Amino acid sequence: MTVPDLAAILPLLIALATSLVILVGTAVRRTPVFSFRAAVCGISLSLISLAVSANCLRPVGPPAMPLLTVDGLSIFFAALILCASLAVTLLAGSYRGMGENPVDELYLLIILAALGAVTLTWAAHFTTLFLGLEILSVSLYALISYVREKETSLEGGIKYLVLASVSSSLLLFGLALLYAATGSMEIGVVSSRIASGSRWLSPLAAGGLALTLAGFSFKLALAPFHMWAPDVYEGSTAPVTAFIATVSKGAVFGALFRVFSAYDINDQATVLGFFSLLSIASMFVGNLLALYQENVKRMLACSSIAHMGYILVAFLAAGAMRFQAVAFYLVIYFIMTIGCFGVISVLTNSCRREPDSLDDFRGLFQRQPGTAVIFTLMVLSLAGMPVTAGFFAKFYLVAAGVSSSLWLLIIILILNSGIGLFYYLRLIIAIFSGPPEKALMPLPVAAYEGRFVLGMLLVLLIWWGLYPAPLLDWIAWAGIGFKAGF
Amino acid sequence: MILPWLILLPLFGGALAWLLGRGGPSGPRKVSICVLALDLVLAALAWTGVYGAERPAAVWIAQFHMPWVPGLGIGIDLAMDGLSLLLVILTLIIGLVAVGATKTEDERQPGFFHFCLLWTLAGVLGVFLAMDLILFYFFWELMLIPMFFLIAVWGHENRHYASIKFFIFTQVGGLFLLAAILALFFIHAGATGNFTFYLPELVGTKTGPAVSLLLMLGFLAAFAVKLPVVPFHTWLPDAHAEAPTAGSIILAALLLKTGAYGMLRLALPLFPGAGAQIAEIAMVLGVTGILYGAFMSYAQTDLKRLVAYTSVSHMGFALLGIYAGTAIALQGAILQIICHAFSTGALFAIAGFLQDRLQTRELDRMGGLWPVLPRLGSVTIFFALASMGLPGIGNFIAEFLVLLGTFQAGTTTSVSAAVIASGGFVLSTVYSLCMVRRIFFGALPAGTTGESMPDLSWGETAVVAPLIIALLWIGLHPQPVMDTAWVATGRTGMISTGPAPYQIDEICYDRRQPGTGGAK
Repeated sequence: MTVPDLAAILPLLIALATSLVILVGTAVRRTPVFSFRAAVCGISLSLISLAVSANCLRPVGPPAMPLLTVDGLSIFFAALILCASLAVTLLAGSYRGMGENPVDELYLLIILAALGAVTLTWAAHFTTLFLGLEILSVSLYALISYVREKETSLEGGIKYLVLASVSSSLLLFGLALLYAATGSMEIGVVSSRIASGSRWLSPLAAGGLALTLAGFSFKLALAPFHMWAPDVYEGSTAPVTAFIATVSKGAVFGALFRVFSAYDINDQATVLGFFSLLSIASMFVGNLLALYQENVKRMLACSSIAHMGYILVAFLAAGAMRFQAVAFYLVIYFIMTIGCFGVISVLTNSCRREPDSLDDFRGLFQRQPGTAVIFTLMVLSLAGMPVTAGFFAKFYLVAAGVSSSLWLLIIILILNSGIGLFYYLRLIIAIFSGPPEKALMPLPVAAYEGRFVLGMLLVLLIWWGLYPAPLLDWIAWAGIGFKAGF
Repeated sequence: MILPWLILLPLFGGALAWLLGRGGPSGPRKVSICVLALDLVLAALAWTGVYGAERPAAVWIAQFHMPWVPGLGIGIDLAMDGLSLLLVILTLIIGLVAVGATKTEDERQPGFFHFCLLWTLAGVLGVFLAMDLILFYFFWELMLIPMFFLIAVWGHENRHYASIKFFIFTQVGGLFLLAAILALFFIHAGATGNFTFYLPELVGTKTGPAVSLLLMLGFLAAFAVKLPVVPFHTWLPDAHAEAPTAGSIILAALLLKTGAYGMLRLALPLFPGAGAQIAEIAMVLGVTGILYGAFMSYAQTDLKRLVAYTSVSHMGFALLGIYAGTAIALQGAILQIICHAFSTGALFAIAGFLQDRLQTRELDRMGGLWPVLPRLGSVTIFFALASMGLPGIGNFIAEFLVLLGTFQAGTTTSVSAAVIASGGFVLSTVYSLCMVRRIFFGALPAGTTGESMPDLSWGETAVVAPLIIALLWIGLHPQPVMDTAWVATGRTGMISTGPAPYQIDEICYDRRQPGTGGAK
C-alpha cells in the first residue's frame, strides 16, 4: 500500500473511521444527536474525499491494486451511494416512527451498509466482491428489523435473512464455478476470458454465470427472485426502505458492470438469454403484482421490481449508450425512490404506524399541498412523464434498447409502462381526491431535515428533467474513466 | 423570439394562476384570460406578417433554435408555418372559449384548475410548434398530465375510470411514437453520421420499405389513438363525457387535432412511400369512423357522449382527407380540423350551459325547452346545422372538399370511399336534428314543471359568438384560411401524400371556385 493507493481509497477509510467513531461514542454514552451529526459529517467528508480519489486517476491512470479498482465507474457509484446514504441519514434523523428504540445504531448500520455497497462496486476480485456484499447484507438484516416491536418488521427481517443467505451461497457457488472454468478470481481476467470464448459458453462457465446472476438478481429483486421485496419494504421503516430500494440495488448494478463489462452482452447468446428472461419476467411480475396493492409501500416495492427490469433492457444494449442509459436511469431512480419513501417518512408521526395505505393519502393535496405536489411529481417521474427527470430516464432506456435493436424487450417495456400507469395514477388520484368520510390519520408537518432532503430531490428532479445535459456530461466522464480502467 | 413566448406565457400564467388561487376563482380566471388574450395578440401579429406587403421569402414564418441536450442532437427547435399558425390561433381561441364556458366548475381549487388548463394549452401549442422530434414528444406527453388532472379532479361521476383510461391509451401510443422516433434517429445517424432529431433533416431518410412501414406504424400508434381512428377510439366517449366543460372543449377541439397534425406534419412527410401503402386501409378506417361514429352518436342518451361520438364521425372525414392523396382532400382535412374544433367546442360549451341549468346531461330528462330557452335553442340549432354540414357554414366546405378530393383521386377504393362517406352527411343530419328535437322540442319530461330558467346570458353569448362568426366566415370566405395553410406547407414540402409531389398551388388556385361553397 503506497500513499497514492491510500489516497485513492480515502472515501472508504473515512466511512470506516466514522463507523468506529460512532461505535465508540455509543459505547461511552448514548447521544443520538452526536451519532447523527457524526454520521452526516462522516458521509459528507467521504463524499468530498471522492475528489481526491478522482484526482488520483488523472495523471498516472488508476493505481494498480489487486483487490480494488478505482476508476470513473468507482467514483460514479461511490458518489451515488454516498449521496443516497446521506439523504437516508437525514431522513432517518427526522423520522418519528422509531418508538422507544435508540437510533444511534441505525446511523452506524447505514454507514456500514454504505461502506459495503461502495466496496462491492469497487471490487476487482471475487473476495472483495463477496466481502462487500456480505457487509451490505448483514447491515441490512439489522436495519430491516430495527423496530423490534413491529411484527411486520421482524417478518421482513427473517425473510430477508433466510433468502439472502441462500442467495449468498448461490453466489459463492457461482463464483467458485467461474474460478473453475477460467482459473482466476480477478474479475477483469474472468470476464475477458469468458468474452474471448465461443458464442456459447462451456457448461461450467454458463452454470457459474447463471448462479452468480441468481445471487445478484436476488439483491436486485428481479423476478423470480423478488419474493422478499414487498414484505421487506413494508416491514422496514421508510428511510430504511429507501435505502434498500436504492443503495443495495445500485451497488449490485455497479458489480454487474464489473463482471459483465469486458464485452458486449449481445455477443454472448447464453448471457443475453439469462438477462432477457430476467428482464421480461421482472417487468411483468412487478407491474402485475403492483396493480391492486392497497399498501403504498408494497406497491412501490412491486414497481421497483419492474424498474429493475426496465434498467436491464438498457443494460443489454451495446456500446456507449449502455453505461450512459443505465447510469442515468439509476441516478433518477435513486432520486424518485428516495423521494417517494421520503414523503412517507416525513409524514410518519410518533404513533408508530406509517401512512402506507392508499387511504392514508386520500386528500393529501388539500391537507398538505407541498408534500402532495412533491409526491405526485415523484410518482409521475416513475411513470416517465415530462418536466420530471423520469422522462429523460425512460427516453434513455428506450434509446439504448433501440440502438441495439432489442425490439422484443422494447415492446414489452412499452406495454408494461402502460400497465404501470394504472397504479401510479391510482395513487395520484387518491392524493388529489377529497378526503374520505372516516377519521383521518393525523399527518405531522415535516421536520426541517426531511423538508431539506425532499426539497433538494425535487430541485434535482425538475432541473434534470428540463436540462439533463450536466448530469449526462458527468456520466460521460465516468464512462470514459471506466473504459480507461480496463 | 415570438415562438418560445407563445409557449412560455401560458406556462408562467399557469404558475401565477396557482399562486392566486387562494383568493377564489376570479383571480386565476383573469390570469387565464389575460394570458391567452396576450398570446392571441402575439399570434395575430405573426399572421399579419404572412399577409404583409410581401410574403416572406423564407420557408418559415418564424423560427427559434436553442441547444438542449447537445450530446444527442436534441435541440429546442420551434418553427411556425401556415398550418402551425392556424392551429396556434385555433388553440388560443378555443382556450378562451374554454375559460369563458367555465362558470362554476373552477370554484373548487381554482388555482390548480387554471394551472391545468393553461398547461394543457401550452402542451398543445408546443406540439404545434415543435420541430425537434424529442421536443415534440416532450410536449405530446406534457399535455396529458394536466388534462388527466382536469378530468380526474373536476370531472363527473365516473371520472377516475375515464381519466385513467384516457391516460393509459394515449401514453402507450406515445411510447410507440418514442420508439419509432429513436429508431429513425439511429437509422439517420447511421446513414449520415449526423445525430439530430431536427425534423427537416430527418425528412428524406432512406429506409427499406418494410422498416419504414414499421416506423410509420409506430408514429401512427400515437396519432391514431389521439385522432381517434376507429378501433382505438374507446377512450374518447368516456373522457369527453366525464371531463368538466372546459376539459371536454379542449379535448375535442384541440387534443384530437394534435393527432391529425401529427399525421400531417410527421407521419406523411417522413414516410411518404409507406403512407401511400396504407392509404387505402386508412381511408377504409376513415369511412368506418364516419359511419360508426354517426350511428353510435344517434344511439346515445347522454348529451356529452352524443357529441363525443360526432367527433369520431367528423374526424373520420379528416382521416379520409389526409390519406386520399389529393391536394383538395388535404385542404378539406385541414379545414375540417379547424371547423370541427369550433362546432364541437361550441356543442360541448352548450352541453355545459344546459348542465348548469338542468343538472343533467341525460337527453331523456330534457325536452320542451324551446319556450324557456329560445336564445340558447337557436344557438344550438346553428351548431347542429354546422355539424350536419349545411352550406354556408365552414364544416360544409371542409367535408365537401374532402369528398371531392377523395372522389378525384380516382382509384376504386377512393371513389367508393367517397360515395359511402357521403352517407355521413345524411346520418349527421339525423343525429343533429334528433339531438335538437330531444333537447328543445316535444314534451317536458315528467316531473318537471318547466319553471323559468335564465336564457343565454351575455357572458355565454360572448363565448359562442366568436365561434359562430368564425364558422360563418370560413363557410362564406374560406380562401384566407386555405391560403394561410398553404403559404408554408406547400412550399416546404412538409406535406406530401404520395411518391410524386403534386403542384399544390396550381391545384389550389385552379379549383378555387368549388372551394367557396357558400356561394353555390
